Amino acid sequence: MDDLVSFEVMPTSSGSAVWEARVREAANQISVAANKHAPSISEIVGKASGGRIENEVVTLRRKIEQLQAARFKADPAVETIQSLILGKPYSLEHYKSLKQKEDLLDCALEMGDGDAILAVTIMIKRTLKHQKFLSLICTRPIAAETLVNYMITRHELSQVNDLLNALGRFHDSGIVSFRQAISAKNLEGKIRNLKQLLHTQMSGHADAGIVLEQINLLERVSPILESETRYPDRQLSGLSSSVLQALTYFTQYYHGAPENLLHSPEALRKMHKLSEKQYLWVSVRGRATAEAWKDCENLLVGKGWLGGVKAKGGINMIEMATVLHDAKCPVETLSVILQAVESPADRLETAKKLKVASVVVDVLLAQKDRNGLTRYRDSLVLNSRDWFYAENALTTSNVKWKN
Amino acid sequence: MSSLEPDVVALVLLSRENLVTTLARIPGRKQLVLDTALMRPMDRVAGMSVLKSAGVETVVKQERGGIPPAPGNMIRVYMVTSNLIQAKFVADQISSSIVNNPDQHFHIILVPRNLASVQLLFEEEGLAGHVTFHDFSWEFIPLDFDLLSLEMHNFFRNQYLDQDHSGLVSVARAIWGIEKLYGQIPNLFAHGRHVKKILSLVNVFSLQYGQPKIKQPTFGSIFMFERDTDWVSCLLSPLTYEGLLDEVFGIHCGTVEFGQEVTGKEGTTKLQLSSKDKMFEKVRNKHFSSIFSVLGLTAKQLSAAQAAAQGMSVDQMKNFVQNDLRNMKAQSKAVALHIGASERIQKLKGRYFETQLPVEHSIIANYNYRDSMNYIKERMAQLAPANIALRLICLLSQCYDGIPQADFSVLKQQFVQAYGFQHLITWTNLTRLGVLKLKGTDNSKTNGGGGTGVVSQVAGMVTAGARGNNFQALVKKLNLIPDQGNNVNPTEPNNPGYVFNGAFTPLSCKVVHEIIKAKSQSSPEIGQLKEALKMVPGETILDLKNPDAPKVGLVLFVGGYTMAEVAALRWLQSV
Repeated sequence: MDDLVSFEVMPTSSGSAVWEARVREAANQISVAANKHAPSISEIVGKASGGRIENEVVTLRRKIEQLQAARFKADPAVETIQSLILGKPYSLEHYKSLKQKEDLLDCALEMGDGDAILAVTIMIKRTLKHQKFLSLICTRPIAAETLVNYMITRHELSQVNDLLNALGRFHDSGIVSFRQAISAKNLEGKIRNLKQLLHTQMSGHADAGIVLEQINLLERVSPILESETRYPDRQLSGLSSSVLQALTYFTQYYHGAPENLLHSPEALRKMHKLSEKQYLWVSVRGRATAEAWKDCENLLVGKGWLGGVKAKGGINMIEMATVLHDAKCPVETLSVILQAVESPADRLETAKKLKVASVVVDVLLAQKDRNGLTRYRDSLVLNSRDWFYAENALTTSNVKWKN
Repeated sequence: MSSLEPDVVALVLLSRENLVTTLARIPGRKQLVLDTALMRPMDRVAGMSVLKSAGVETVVKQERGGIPPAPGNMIRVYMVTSNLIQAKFVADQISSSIVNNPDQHFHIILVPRNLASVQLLFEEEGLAGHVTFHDFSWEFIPLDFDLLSLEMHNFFRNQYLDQDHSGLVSVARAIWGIEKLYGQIPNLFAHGRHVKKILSLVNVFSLQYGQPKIKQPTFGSIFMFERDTDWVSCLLSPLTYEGLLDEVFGIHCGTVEFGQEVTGKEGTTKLQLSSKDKMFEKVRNKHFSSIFSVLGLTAKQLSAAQAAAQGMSVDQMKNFVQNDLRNMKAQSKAVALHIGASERIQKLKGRYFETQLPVEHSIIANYNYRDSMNYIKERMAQLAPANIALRLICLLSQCYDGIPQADFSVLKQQFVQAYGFQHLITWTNLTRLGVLKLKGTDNSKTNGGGGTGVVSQVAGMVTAGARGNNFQALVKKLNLIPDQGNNVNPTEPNNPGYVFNGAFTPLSCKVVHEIIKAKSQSSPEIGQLKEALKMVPGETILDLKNPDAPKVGLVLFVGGYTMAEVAALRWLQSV
């Protein structure tokens, strides 16, 4: 059920005569302007000039002939474009000469209305031979751009590519084709399209490398998608969506698989040249989802120089510890991870936040902070394991306390 | 409402009259098929009773696919956003309708204007004889007493990405509408690539529809900014409550939708944001760090007021039930929603702000590039939401005047590896917009259209110092980074930069401030302002005709505003 909390009451009037009058006048002007029709013959002809009936008839006849001829003459460009802008009837029919076409387009570009620009450009395209059209449009980038996007929306893709290539915009042409290629409904179709793309519109393209990566990923993932359907509980949607999503899946279910297998995380890493950061973050989260906490530890920390623990890959361990904590990582693993946080102050603060008592106690002990340690012990549940750990540190160590 | 503030209700009334006039041109009983994208704005302009007065008997949502024929002998009137995709849906429906009943005639109201491309589509589908086209555009829709919107959702993409400039006409028409109701605005500032065109289009409307004749204009000045003059304000994280509401939940046509995480119950609850909501009025522009204390304080005040209502006489109670009860009920609901929303914002954003905000600050200050890069790469490896990573990358590009080739390639590769290869298109689009840039390429020459991501082969040799950094120059000239020693106090900020946590003052706010301070158009400060604005794409138009004009200004963002900028400008009024 949808609920709406609102303080507004629909205004029925503005409560002021001045405003009502202004609104009415504005509405009138708009409505009158919309109804303004083409002037009638009598309006054009005007009042009959004084004189005899015959003169009047001759004048009228001449005027009618002029009007009939004028029906097929192009209006001045400005008037047509203004009509377009104002939503009034117009015709682009009679701009036959090249100069008239150019003037009309330039007028539209000058006035800035995109609809006018598009309408005129389409008219010119239809009424000029292709080469001439191209040379006209090449010098008018906004018109070209408007037309390109119109053609894309209308799915006239081969025409768009021709136009873009003719304008020398090979990069954009490649991307347009790329977009078309990935719109295929199934993976096989996508792979086929992309391979063809690399040979044709995107050969030598700045983004060719990325397209190649995509092909590699899809080719790897396609058979896996088939075979994984025997595990109805597994979420397969991420597999083809991105490299790191695929890696998440692999590390969750196939950690340690030999590199010759398609679903090996190592193999994926090598193929896409993933950085240590990328690999570690994704793998740890994959392993965490599988609740393989020892693996997380091994991935993240190694022996430091002086027998201590060192973070691998330059990962931000505070952030990592927080993420693991949110994934319900056991305290034992967290305490190992936190050892790799270099600054004791950071380690202390993070341990407090994540409630890893052993690390808090260890740091306070190392800092010889009896008061802090006492306060911390008191904040713990009495006689719990953590409480005893803190109590031990306070009572049994030979420490020269600072306070 | 004070006498200084324009009565924005007039805009709604004008929109309504125009709508009724348009509908009245279609004779007979009507079934209105309404584009879902238009429903919220239409709610603000005209309710069912207005539609009924124009002969509309039922309103149906426009949906893809089949649609049952209009009941009885009602005429079906479509009201859709004017674009080819909507047009195609409608055309398909009409095509299948006339198979059974070839004599049917339909009406289509295109919002905001009729387009040649739409006409062409219908002609090609052989339907031109079966439809009559109309157009309708509403005036600026008031979302609050000081906030107006044209609700043209496709405008930004059309105008800046697709180079489809048909929206400019509607902007000009809306400006004409304002001048018609409130008087011609004497003082003008505008900056952007298309502002000149907009202004000349306003003239076209004046010539056709008539000049405003009001002697005492309500607005003394208009300040027009195109969206692409200040991308940084769009990319930084806003720290005001309203800005965060938009970030986390999305504000659409002045309304926010809250789900179960906020309301605690099933279904969604919509809240219309308004200054009439006393709680919201107090907190909307506040820096998020002070939000909980303000919420607590205000909640207490409001419940005290409610308690006072307990000891009322019968007469007082009658009066209360008639006038105040509804508001009070809405107020309590709103308070609960705001508290729930704030808690949700804290939960989602709180942790990341600690690490992300300092990175944003250092990017703006061009400090510690390597660390910023590493932070971004780490966020992508963590599979943080794509738009967060992308915003940071774009911010990097803006503030450093482009990203060096090697870094650009790495970021692009890692981005698509994390979020999908289809984002190749995203990166191309952002490059076309000029938001993402390779160092050493200059998109401004190609006027935004036809820009390419093609790398200059010499890019590797272009060092950071070789080209001046436009953004940094602008920041220095206009003093856009608040003095850090100033210690921006979030509760009573003395600097509009507080909206971005003290990192940056929105360009629009700075410009407006400088102009209203200036004594005259030719003062040296204005000269400096113009010099600084040369760093921003587009041209500057400054015409301060009347220094004694009313001190009410209209700030127009062509392409959309951010709530942070709105807050900064509101702050300016308190100075």
